[in-house]
Amino acid sequence: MSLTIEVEPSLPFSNTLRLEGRLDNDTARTLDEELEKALDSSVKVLVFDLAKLDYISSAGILSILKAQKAMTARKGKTLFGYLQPGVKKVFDIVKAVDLGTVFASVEELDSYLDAIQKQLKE
Amino acid sequence: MRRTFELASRPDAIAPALDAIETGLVDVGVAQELALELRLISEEIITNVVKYAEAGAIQINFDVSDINVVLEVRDDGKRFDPLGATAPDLEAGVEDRPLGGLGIHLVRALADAVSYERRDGWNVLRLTKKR
Repeated sequence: MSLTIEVEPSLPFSNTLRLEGRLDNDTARTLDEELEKALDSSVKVLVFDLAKLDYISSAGILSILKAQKAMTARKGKTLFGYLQPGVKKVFDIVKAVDLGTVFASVEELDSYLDAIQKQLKE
Repeated sequence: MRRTFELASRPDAIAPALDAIETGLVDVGVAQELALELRLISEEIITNVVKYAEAGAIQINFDVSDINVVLEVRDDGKRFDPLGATAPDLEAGVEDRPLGGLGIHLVRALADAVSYERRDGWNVLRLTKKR
């Protein structure tokens, strides 16, 4: 099964990774490679847009946990925009994320990022 | 209805086997959502076998009834009970979270019942999932 990853610098200090497909033992390597590039030193907010991710296994959770650890170490944030029910179930079982970092929709996440940007400008 | 899948215990054999399992389940009327959960359970178990059991062959049997799906994963490797692993600490903060042990934790949480036995030189992991 395949995984496509789109990386978008959503704001000067953040990168958004849009995942589509399935994140499993095979495709987690691809995500790890993209994360190495996406986690450059200037990134303070890492966003996972998972609206089109319909499957995740422990290999994928591991990649995401490693990214969260890297962001926490630099006092950054990791945010998640919308989890499909099957993916959310897995996240809940392994308590992979702080619930405050999961947004119900990509629009809600975009509003949050806009608010952060305004704060930085003030 | 019973289906059997066999694969060599090699990393490159896992994905094709999982595809066959998922397709096979849907073909016999299992809902896509349940088929995906069973694919996930199978992935976690098979990946562990390939990594740790030093097996040559893996056999997966599915029994599908109106009430449940019974999954049995057998391998001819050394004695290896994945259920014996220590449960991961899920309460630790992100910076302190250990990175291992999540696969079997997922299997235990998603299955309605799961058991292990060593039988005639084979590891046998059996689990049930209600429909």
